[in-house]
Amino acid sequence: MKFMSLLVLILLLLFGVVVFFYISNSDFERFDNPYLENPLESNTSMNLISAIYLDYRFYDTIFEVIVFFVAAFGVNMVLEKLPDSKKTKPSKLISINSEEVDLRMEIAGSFIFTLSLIFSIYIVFSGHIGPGGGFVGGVVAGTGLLVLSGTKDLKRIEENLNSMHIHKIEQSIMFFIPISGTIGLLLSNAGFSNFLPQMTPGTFFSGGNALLFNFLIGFKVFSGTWTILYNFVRHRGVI
Amino acid sequence: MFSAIFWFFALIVSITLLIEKNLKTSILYFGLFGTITSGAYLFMGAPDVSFASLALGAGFTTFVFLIAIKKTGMVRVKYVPAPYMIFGKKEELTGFEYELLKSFLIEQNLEAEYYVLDSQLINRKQTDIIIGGIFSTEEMRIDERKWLKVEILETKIYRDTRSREIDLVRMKKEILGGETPAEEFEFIREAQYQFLIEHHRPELAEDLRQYLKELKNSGEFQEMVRRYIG
Repeated sequence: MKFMSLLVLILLLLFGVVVFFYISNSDFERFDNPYLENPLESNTSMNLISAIYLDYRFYDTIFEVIVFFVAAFGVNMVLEKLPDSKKTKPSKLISINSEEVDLRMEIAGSFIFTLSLIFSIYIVFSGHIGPGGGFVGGVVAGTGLLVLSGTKDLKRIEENLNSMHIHKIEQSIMFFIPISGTIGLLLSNAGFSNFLPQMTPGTFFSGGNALLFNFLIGFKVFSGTWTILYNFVRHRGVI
Repeated sequence: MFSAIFWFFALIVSITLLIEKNLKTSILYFGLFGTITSGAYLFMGAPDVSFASLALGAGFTTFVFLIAIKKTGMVRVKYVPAPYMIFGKKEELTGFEYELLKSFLIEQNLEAEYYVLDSQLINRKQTDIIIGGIFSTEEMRIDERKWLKVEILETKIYRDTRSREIDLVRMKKEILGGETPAEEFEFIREAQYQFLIEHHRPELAEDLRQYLKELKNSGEFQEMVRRYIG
């Protein structure tokens, strides 16, 4: 047993050294990329990654979104039939044994949620100008909501989200993908092409479809993250 | 250059993560790992990847693991009814070992189900802890290598006229109950009361030893002994 852990340690160290030398010696600018020649002519996103992600390579993005959708859907479908975790009160995530949630924790949870929501909105809506994007923004907001659910009543949060019809909005986003493809096909010759006006680079309304798709993907990831984590919290210890 | 420093720290943290036995600490190290790699990506000129690494590695994954650990947050305790140690009806158990284990589990954020140990063969998959004035495992039909022993309290073993070994608390119960006069018992040796912990939960044994040490230093342990055993 000790020999094995020593072996694993040595292998890890070797791997670390290899990675270290590879990273410190690699020349990242040697790749010739047609996108890098004059990117602002065809797409006005300041963030080139957004331009590639949401315009040139939008097919890849679609399947990423579909994979995430299927994952959230599957978790929901499998866990929905299981009984709720009875042993613990569902509102308690961090301190399940104390009867009352600490007031300090509650305030801190609300504070963190507000901060993460603001940050996520900023990331989502500036994804075509600076670093960020829909996916990261959605994860940030979903995790913030989970922190909130650790300190507040889980059922109440779920009721609030249900009254906003969040699941219907989430599922209707999936319908928007073929619609956007068709619109792009009608307006120009290729499917999924940019159909919104491109505007001046660097301003809020620029980058064509990037703003819209960032928002949709952000919302999708936010609700998907929430669905997965909420189901795990609600049915924990049951399987 | 900065990214190299970050990667170096990430390597150290990942090795620590591998060695660490306590699952909760391990998860926190994992969050730290995500944060450090996010800093490395930032200095390598990939702020998008850095954001994703921070949001997923430090936030999302840590939470998923913390929720997953709640599954192991259920502890199944089998007990041998023993006077002063653990006795009473199913819903209102009391005694020294019961209260000790309860306070330990509350501190660890774990929940417990209690069952009487009745069957001859102990199902290890359905048992995490065995308690109840256990001082010798020779008579119990368990595999010695599969159970970790945590010593709780020292005791004395006596032999009565029927050459039956009996420990301190059970002897006290018999004497006070008037079943057997005190002269019939003969001191043999000293021993330790033990909690048996299933060997797949070594972190539980480690935490329990740590908890006992703290409890003894603060004097609360002696207080509990006085209150429940006398």
